[in-house]
Amino acid sequence: MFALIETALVFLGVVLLGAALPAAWFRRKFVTLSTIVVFIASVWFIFLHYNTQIIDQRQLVPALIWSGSLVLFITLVSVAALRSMRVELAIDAFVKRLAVLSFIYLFIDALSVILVIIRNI
Amino acid sequence: MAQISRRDFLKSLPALPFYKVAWPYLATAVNNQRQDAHTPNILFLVFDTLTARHVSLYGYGRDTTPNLARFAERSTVFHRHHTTANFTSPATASIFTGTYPWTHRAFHLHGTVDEARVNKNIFSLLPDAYYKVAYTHNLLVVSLLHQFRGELDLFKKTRELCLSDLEFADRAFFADYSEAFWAEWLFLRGGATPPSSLFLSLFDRGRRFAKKRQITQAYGELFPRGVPSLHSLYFLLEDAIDWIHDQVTQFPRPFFGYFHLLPPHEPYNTRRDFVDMFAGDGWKPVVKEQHFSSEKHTQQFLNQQRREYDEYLAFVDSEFGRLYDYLDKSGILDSTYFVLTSDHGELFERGIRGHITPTLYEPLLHVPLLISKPGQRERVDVRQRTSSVDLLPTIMQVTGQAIPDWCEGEILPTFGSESSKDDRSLFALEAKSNPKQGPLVKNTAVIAKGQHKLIHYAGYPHHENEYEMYDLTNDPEELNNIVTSENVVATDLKNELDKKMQQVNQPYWS
Repeated sequence: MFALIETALVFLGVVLLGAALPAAWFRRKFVTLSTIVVFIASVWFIFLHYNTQIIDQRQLVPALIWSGSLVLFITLVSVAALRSMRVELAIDAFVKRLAVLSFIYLFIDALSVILVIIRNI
Repeated sequence: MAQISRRDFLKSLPALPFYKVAWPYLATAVNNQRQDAHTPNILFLVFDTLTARHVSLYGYGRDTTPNLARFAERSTVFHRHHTTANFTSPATASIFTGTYPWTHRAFHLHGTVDEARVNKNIFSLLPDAYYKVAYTHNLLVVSLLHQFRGELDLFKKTRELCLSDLEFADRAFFADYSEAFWAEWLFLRGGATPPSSLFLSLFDRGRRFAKKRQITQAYGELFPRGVPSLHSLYFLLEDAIDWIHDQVTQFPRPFFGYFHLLPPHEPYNTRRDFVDMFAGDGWKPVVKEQHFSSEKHTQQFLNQQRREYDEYLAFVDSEFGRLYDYLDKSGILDSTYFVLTSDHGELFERGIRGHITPTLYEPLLHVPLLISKPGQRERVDVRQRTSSVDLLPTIMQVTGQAIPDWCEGEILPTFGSESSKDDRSLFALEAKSNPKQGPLVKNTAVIAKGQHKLIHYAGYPHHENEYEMYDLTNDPEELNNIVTSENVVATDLKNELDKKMQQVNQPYWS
């Protein structure tokens, strides 16, 4: 349930990003660019989990370095993907394979959510 | 006998709705009046992690509990009372069910009682005439009480007497509390590994630190070592004590109240007036050998932690004194069995601090038990060995209920007609590593009989099948392991414990 909420929020964030950015820049290559954003952000957040003193002690400089480098990496990889058809195709192919697995998860998740709601209302 | 005519019957029909509405109230009022005259209230006060080994009433070297000593003067004081496990879930489940951990199966953190035994507990056994109420700061006890919530008239939520509680589990998933608690915990907090949530957990972390800062700013002066807390739960013991003494005069009679308060559980954040009260007093504990499960804490660190625990305990005692004075003045004690005990103790020796440990030494198992009978004015001292599984049958005895045959305890000495046997075998268990519905393979088990206590370590790498035995009368500090020198006694106890373990494991071998 908790994981589903987080997944929905991340997905919502990417959708909002797609809606906010120019159509030519993001919407036409939604799958590729959103994959880049989510994957790189995930890796960066894993780093943050091993350096939680940045949050606990409100360390401003490390926090700026962390978020600046995240934005920079996403931008660089996105530009590379926009310019290279081969990179774009590779990411697309990878995501399509993942999507099949995701459908199985989604089905089980939906069943679990219904069960939890019925038990707790 | 006068006949009721058809006309009379028809005339009485319009009054039926009145009876339908009023009868439950009339019945309760009649019942309460009847019960008032004969049935005592029961007030259970459990302070978490309160080891008898640090209580001055039981001979500790520091004057930690002067108020408990006052209460003792009108109570039955149990000098050798022991719990069944070294942490909250199994130990409290034993109080609730009158059974050992291998029977109730709540031997994991946030463990719950075996489904088949959910209806076999102290709340369900007491008659419906009792108004049953429970409150706890301890979320492990919440998991257990959730199982019994159908029996409770009032299950007050933990957060209602707390400064902050940032848990979601019981807000959204009340019916699945234990599962939701763990899901939330692993998702947002993690444990030995980082949390499973990449994004929300960091947001939650920031939120918790902001709340901590806010509470520290508000109460930091009163609690210089930190506001009493456990994880993200911040509370003032004073609030819970105030609530109890406000409510006990208002509960319908007779009532059964179970109040399980977290102090002196770590962190040992005592109030300003108790900070450093034992600093430089020169008192030093006996230094003991490191245990194989030692956390490698230095003796200096353990002594410092012990002193902070003692200072926290003195604060708990002062709050207990405040409650006791109120109960005494209000006259409630004249019609109430007042039970004061703890679920388990705390260890500051052998390189170990705390109670999440495979060991079962006396500071972890020996807990206080004082019971004041209605109107009791004299002190009674009981020196037979007793166990927390004895509380349920004792409560059944004093309320005139039958003691169920599945109960593994006995009526406490001075509460029943039979004199208690001093040579009975009592047990304790640590078995977190085993599945709930499986045989106990890796565990620490204790059998205590007479003056001897045998500890068996099973399934630990490099310490498989190891034994320790102590003579608690002549060696209460458990310094001399006499398992080889007292071979005859040791063999008897080993055989009895082995037979017991085979018996409790038998249903799970398949």
